[in-house]
Amino acid sequence: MNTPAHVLMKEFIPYLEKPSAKWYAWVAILVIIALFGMYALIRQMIDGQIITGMRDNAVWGIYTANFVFFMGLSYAGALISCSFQLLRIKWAKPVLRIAELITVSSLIVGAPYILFCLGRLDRIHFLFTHGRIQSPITWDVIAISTDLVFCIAFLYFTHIRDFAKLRDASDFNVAPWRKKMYSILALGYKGTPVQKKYLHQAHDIMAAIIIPTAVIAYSLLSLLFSMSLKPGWHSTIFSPYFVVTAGYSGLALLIVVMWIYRKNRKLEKHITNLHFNYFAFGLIILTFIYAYFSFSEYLTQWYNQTKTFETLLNNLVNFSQFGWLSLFHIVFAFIVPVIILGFPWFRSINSVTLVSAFIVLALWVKRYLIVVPPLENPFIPIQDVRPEYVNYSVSWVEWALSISGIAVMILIFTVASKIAPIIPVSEVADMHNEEKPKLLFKTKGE
Amino acid sequence: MEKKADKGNRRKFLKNTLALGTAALATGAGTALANNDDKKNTEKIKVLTTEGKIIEIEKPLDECKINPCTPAQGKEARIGIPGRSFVMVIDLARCKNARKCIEGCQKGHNLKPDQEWLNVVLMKDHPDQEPYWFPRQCFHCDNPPCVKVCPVGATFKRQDNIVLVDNDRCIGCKFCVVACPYSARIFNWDEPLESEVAREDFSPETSVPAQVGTVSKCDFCPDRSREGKLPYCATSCPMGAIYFGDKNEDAVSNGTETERFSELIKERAGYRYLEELGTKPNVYYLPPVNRMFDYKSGLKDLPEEKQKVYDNIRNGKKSN
Amino acid sequence: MNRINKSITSSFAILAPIFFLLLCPENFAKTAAKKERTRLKTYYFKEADGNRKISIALTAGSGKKMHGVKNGTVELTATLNDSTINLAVIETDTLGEAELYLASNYVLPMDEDGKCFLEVSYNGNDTYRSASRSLEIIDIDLEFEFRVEDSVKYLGVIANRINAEGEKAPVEELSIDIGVERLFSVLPIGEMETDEDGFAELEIPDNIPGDAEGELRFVAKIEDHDEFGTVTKTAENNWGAPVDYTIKPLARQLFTDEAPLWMIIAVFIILLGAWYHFFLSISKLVKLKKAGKAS
Repeated sequence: MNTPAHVLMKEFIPYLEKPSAKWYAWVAILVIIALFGMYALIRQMIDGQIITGMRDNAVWGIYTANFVFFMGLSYAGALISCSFQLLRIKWAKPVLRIAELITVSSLIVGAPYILFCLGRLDRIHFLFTHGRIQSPITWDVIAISTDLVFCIAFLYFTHIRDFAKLRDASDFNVAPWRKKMYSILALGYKGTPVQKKYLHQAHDIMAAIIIPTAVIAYSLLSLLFSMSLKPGWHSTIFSPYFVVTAGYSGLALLIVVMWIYRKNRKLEKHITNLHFNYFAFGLIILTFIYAYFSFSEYLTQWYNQTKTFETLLNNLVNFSQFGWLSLFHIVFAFIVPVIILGFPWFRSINSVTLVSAFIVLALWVKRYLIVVPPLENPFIPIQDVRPEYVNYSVSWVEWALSISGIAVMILIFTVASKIAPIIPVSEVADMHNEEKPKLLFKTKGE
Repeated sequence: MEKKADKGNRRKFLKNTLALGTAALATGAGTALANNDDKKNTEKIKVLTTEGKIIEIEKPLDECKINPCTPAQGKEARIGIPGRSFVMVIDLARCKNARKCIEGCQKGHNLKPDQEWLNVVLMKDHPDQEPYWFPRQCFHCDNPPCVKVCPVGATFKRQDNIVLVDNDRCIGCKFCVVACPYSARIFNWDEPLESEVAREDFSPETSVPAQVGTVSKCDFCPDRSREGKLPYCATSCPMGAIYFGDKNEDAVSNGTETERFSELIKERAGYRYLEELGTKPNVYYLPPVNRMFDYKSGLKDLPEEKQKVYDNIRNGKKSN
Repeated sequence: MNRINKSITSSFAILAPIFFLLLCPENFAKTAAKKERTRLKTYYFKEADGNRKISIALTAGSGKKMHGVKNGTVELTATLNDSTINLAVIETDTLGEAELYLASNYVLPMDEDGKCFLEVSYNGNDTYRSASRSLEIIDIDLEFEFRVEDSVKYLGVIANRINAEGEKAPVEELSIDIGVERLFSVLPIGEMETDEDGFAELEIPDNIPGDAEGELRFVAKIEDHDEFGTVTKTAENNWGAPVDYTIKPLARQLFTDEAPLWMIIAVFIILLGAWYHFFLSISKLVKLKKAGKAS
């Protein structure tokens, strides 16, 4: 047994065996942060939402922004991994598992943020017992849960061959229960041609259905905003705008995570300059598409503006209001990517990664700018003496839950890369086999 | 059920006492007083008999205009009062920001002083316009954006035009708050005031008792309509600026004056706020022409910090 | 410095009258002993259901500082042929008001013209001065007459005063308000004045919404008349425009409890399509597992 796959697997086995003390310490830190978020949530449930920064007018805050943000990150895997699977693109195989993990972890972390907004978490089952199909929230609940199930399934599908390898690995020293787990999860995969065919078919079907599901899910997410009459929200291009923003942030995060694993695990052999190069190219295309959508959205509404939209725009550029955030967003979502990625002498693996990290941040800011300013700008002017009712400010509870969300996402990565190699070993080993590409569906003449 | 029967009996009783002979009356009143439960209505009226005696009998409860008189609960509350089409007309020429409507509403609905279902804002539609006071509450739209987005049907549109909130159902997602273009809804961020009304007696028509983590808003006081009473805001406005009534009856009243709804709207050029949004509100405004007060009279009694809030509007600058 | 000076001055301003009062107790007592002037107001009501009521308001003070006198004992007397008859003694409530209903068979002491002279008096006490007020009551009867001529509807009212013997005499130049009863109030239709026969007539518009059969309840009212008091009389007639008061369920739409059918169908089709493919791919895995066992 010395196939390329086995050789490759040997390289990763040390990472999967008994965790080090350092690993435990790292997990402990993440768990503590997550628990702090839990504490904040419990406090919020006991004391009521008065301890958040949300008030009438700005009744939604960074929970909603986080919800949209994390859902957007999930596009990394959903679109990239699935479309690469269907397009039979091989060069990206080593990073696809990272992309799929981003998808699943961000969905798991992101979905609860909409629940943190609920004043009565104890009545959450009403969504099912009294659900109204006319409400965009119902659409979101259905779409996101569907998306989550599909993406977890896809992630699992891509693991089956590696699980089989780990089950069969002889020099793999792990607890018997883990061996057993691999054996169950491998579904008796032995690599026979029939099994290969079935697995490939399952892969293709799942990839084909995840792409529209993800597009629908994120479009529906935008409807949370565009279905209301608020200036700044009531926009017809919100759905594609959100989809593009999601893809943009997803790809940027993928580059960041790729860089982290490459440094941390010394994966320079697998995650190469080629990946950064290609993804940087994709990123700059997305920068322009994103800029195009932003431009369309704001130019049309600014050119001839209604009174309320005028005040909204003024607030967005006013440095005592949202001016600094707007500037940050414009600089790091448009200007810096174009300069750094656009000119050859700035381009390097590190600079691309740094730009990506800033894009992720800038796009979080963008979500904040989508959620909060229109809420502070209703048709009827706010004439309130209570400053917290006029301007939203984030409370410690909301920060705690936001940070713990990031911690949970990292925790999922940490655990997942302990279960299986972070590189899809079997797939990568296949990369160099000159196999005839498989058909996507049956056509006459075969 | 028990309550209703009780009310009916008492009303009948008064008619009998006033009509009956003296002897029967004296004894009848005595037994009635002894039998009647004294916890609910202790108000008495005095009756002068032919014998020159004064006897006390219980005050009859106000004649019920709509049957049943008690606020509807559960499924009943979602249907509405048959055949009614409640509307409100607000005469902007009369409003001087006395804020009595707000106080009346808060008292009637057991709200905290900073919880305003009804608010009076200073408006100025264009730079050359004299600012005017604009009382604003839920418009009970016929095409309500808030009801559409509710994921659990906690807020609903009734056939008598009223949009209500069932706070036993509300999950507090606040989607309706953001969907309302008129900022009419408020959220119970912390524990509401303690109420004498038990949780089981909650009716969306009274909106009392409130619950933390749920949305509440103006309910057009259908519980008072059942008793033939105007909403709290209409009865507490010292200027009579708020008219309320049934469009099917073509009459609106502010407590002292009653007008034909159609004529009021025709003659005074009544309009609906932000008609172009297509929400079809059921609150109409009469433009602030021939005003009874200078808008500045509404600023006089306000604390300085509150006055500052209006500076942007008064100076004609862009708001915020 | 300036601010300190100011606060000293202002605190002196507050404290000075207190010292002054403490030093001059006699002066203070004198002010308290000065009795407040009181006023009585009386109204007589004859309501649509036949109930008669005398309502009394006892107030003290003047101008904006007027307030009701609570628990004031008010005497009600009648004067007939120079003799005084004590009718009742009642006490005002917390608002300074008192109401006295008359039993339906109670006959007010009246002279041959049907006039009843009442006197309401308050004796006063240590704080309040006494007050009295007279009230004249004549019993009046209003009768409705409905007439349609050339399809124009006329509502007529005949006003008659009633004397002690029960004889009726027409009342001239009496102003009567006509309205229709609505949910919250009476909607005024017009005002009219009686002629020498005690008769007045008013044209009733066609378009007043009534109940399902077009039934309207007309209200004729004499408002706070010097002799007749406030008198209300009602009558029903089907001169209104019929209004359908039955419940009409709202058609399925975005804001009703039931969703529009197209929406349910669309969601169902999309979900069916998505989940069909999910289970299709799962079935491939099942086949994969079976294939593994077979080999």
